[in-house]
Amino acid sequence: MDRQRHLVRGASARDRSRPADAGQGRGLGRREFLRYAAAGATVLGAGSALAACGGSSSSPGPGSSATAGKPKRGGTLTLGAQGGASNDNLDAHNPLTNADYPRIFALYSALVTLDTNAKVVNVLADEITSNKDATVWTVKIKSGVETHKGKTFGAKDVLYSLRRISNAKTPFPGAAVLTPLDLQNARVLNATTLQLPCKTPFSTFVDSLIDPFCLMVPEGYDPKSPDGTGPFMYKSFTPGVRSEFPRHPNYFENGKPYADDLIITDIPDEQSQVNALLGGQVNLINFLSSDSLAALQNGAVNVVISKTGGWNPITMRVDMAPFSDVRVRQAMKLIIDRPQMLDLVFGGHGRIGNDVFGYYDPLYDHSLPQRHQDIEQAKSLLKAAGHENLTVTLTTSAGIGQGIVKTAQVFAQQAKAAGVTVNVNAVTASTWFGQDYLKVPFGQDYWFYLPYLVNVPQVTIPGGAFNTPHYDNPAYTSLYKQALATTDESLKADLAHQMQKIDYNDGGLIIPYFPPVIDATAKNVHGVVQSPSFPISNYDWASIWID
Amino acid sequence: MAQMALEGAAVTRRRWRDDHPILWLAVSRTLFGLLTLLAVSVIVFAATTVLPGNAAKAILGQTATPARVRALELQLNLDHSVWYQYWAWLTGVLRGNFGISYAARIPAWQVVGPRLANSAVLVALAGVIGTVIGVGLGALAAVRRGGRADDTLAVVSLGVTSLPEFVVGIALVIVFATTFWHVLPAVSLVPPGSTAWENPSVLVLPGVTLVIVIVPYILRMTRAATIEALESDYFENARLKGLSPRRLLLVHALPNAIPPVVQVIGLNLLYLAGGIVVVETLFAFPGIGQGLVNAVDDRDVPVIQLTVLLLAAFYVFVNILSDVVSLLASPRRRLPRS
Repeated sequence: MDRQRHLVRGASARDRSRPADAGQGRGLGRREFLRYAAAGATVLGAGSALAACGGSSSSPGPGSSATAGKPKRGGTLTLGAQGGASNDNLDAHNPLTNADYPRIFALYSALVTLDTNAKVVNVLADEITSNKDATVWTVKIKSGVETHKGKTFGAKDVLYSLRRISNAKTPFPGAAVLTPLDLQNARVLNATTLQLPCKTPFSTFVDSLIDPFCLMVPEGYDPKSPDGTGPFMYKSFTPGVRSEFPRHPNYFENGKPYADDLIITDIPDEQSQVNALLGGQVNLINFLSSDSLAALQNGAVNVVISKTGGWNPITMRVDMAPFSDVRVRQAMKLIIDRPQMLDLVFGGHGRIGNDVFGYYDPLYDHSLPQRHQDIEQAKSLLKAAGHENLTVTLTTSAGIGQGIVKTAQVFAQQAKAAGVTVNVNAVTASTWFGQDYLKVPFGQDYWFYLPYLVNVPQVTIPGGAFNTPHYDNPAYTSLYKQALATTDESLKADLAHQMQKIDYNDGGLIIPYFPPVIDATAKNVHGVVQSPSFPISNYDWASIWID
Repeated sequence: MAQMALEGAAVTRRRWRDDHPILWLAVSRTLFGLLTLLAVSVIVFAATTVLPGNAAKAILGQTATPARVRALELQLNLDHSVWYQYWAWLTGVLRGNFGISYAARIPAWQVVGPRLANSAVLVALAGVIGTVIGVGLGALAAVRRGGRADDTLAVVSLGVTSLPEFVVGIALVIVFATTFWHVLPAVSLVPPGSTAWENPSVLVLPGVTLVIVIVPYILRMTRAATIEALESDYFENARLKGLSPRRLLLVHALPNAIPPVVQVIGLNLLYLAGGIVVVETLFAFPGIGQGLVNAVDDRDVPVIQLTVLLLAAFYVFVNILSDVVSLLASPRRRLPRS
């Protein structure tokens, strides 16, 4: 009897190992646990399902493909901007990322700018004149210009801006082009006129003002609460994400801007930019590579390809072997098959270069013979220099700009024919700017368009902030100083041509092409024209409209 | 007598651990987890100091002249030794202050918080939906093993697994956002100040991509574990007793399949936390993976440390949780070792 009861009740030692009973009375048993887990999962699942069950956001369609008629008022411009990051900022004088440029061109105005033909035209300026030897400049600005916060913009604000840029302790990048100005002794003659004496003759002053680092801000400017005279005003901004700028109702150009609102969203990946445009989430995208053209040309969008004067050099330090020998530098310039490089990197868009910058400048010497690939000449130059079968390392980074690394790879391929081995070392952007930029003997760089004599002091004169070739040629520097000192345009042109001949034969910069700038817009966005420099009509936001 | 008392005492001491194996597991693992977090923070900090360049140069980029770099370095307190910088960071964290982002100049928590919330929603959504689908399909495949449904699922899941996640994502974008239909957003544009779940349509395509990526693993593991349960003696016994198929599956087979499946789900959650970077990049989803990549590029140490800490804490937590759940679901392992 007892034995049977034991078997039935399971009180023997063997039964302690029966799984179903373990844990009973000692806290959470398996059954309880499974029950609670099932309940919890149902709640979670229902919750997430509900969250996902929202309606899709309303996205405007691409719009009808109306022909560009008269500009219409209204609408929102949305730019999916390339190149933004968490260090995006709105300081007028301190653009750091590529997404900062469209923003500062919207909030602030320059004294002068470049039109679609790369001619210098007035924006805030009315008239800028100098004395005979370019040692005193007089800047007269337009009257009745109002800032977003309602202040009147005058000559004193121009002086404030120039002083802020050139501040001696931590100068902003624009200071590099304003060095001859004697801002201590500048005088505000009246509400709209400013007199600027110069420490040394400064014939290129007007051209220097188009540099995007020289935008104008009112006195007492605070980047945290930005005030400016641009066509759109500050409403909200989250670095690395998005900004919203509504229309400035009292913009000094009557009737403009046409759009009511400008929203700039950072989209770091090019594929995502294209998808956002095709899906109707934005109506403008910028800085595309030629890889996206196929996808764009199939969609209901406008593609604008600008032949800008920007340039991407391969830089050689003339103070280090083997590039200290001019024959090696010339050989490198002769190795490149320029049309082939343009085809491979940019699908044939853009323009081939001739190792001289400043393409749109009237001072550019178009009579210099176009260099072609000449492998035999390159080989004999290298042999004469004692560098047959040269091996070099080209340090580069995708963070420098569009098409840069591809250019390096094409160059390495082409160099093989001349017996030159080029090892391409691509590093990240932070490594490049952290330790390599301006230091490596063989590297690359990226420039937007500047007039020739404004670019020179930054890149080919000792002390230039971006003198990647470490170029220091006293004859060249003296020619530059003479060009600065003369207001005689034909003499200036002659001096510039002499300098360009030196760049062509002796310089440390290989300029194989002038890259295209490729933008795309929805079909109902109008007013985006060819740009000489920056994307989206050189970011002329005031002149773009939607219908 | 003394002998027995000693033995009794020894048995008592052992018995707390064995009485509460789950609690013991959770507590001991949590303590080790905290040590792990500390070690991770030291290693990551050391790694960022070894990288060439520093935050000042990374932020200024091409405009980094020596004067501007020095000025910014002073502002960011980068002129102190690395030991001091780490110690300052650690003591700040212990007081709840995670520092100021070097790049964005706002508290690191404000930079990371919204991104964390967005990624958490995506991971939770993908995790739950993927689990439900994976377990469901896996159980189905197990029950119909050898049949057509099982074979189809095997082939399809193998094919899908071999696709990289950005291919899956791009395919979805082409179908639903840009080329065939325009019903869903191709890019996750979330206005700052609002969150991903307030704009639910941005969650769909990234979420579906992630679900597609993790379902095959869960499916196959569930199938294998369920088959093992289905072919066991106790299951045969239950079947012979004449229980209904549904009861057989849900009460007798699946619960025994839980431990390995939970481990796989845990692994997939961990994968989601890390592998989410690719999907976030493709959709420009404002999440923590993308934020970490940007922060490393900027050498933004406070943001890097905070993000890594959060991810490591998530890893530790998921590990503990999956082990605890496995243990809860396997009473056999909870028994005292005699």
